[in-house]
Amino acid sequence: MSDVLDVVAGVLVVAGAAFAVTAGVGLLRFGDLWLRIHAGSKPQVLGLLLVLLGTALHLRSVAASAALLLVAVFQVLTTPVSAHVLARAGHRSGAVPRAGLRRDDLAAHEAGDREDGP
Amino acid sequence: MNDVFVWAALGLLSTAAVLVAVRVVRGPTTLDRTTAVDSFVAVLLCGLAVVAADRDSTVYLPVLLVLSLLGFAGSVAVARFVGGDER
Repeated sequence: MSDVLDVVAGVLVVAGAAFAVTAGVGLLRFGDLWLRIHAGSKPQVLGLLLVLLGTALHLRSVAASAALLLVAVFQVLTTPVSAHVLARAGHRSGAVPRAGLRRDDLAAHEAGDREDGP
Repeated sequence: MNDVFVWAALGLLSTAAVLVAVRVVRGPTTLDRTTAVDSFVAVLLCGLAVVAADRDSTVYLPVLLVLSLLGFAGSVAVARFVGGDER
């Protein structure tokens, strides 16, 4: 039983590492900031979750699993926030060319905010 | 853990780290670099988790926790600074 669990853990860890490589390839190959944020957040988090799950299956202790679960929860909570803040900063600072956008709700929203503001 | 899995995972993670590091060097904007550094921290977390599993040790787990929060705080701070987030 423990041998089977170890093999499953190993496969999960290697699969997670493969997702990290796809994230790296996307980060390197994609053309603008928003595409890179996409590559750097979603596959990266999935890969990390797989690695953490594999590690938890291998260590098989309650304390270790709790710590790994905490890391996973933090990552799932914080990655969307940081990706969102980065994307908005890219929009504001002009790092993303706005000419390529068909529709720009954020610009309209921020202009509206300024009219309503003090 | 079986050495084959450990070496395969660490090799893949090293490849990922090199790819991400190239993006950190190339930029072109600070936000691209911040995204890449964020991913680098995630790769580092994966690597530490693999080492922890390989050595059957739990001493690395607090490091994982601290790193995950530190990466988040850093990237949000840089993004707010670059985006002129003063409101």
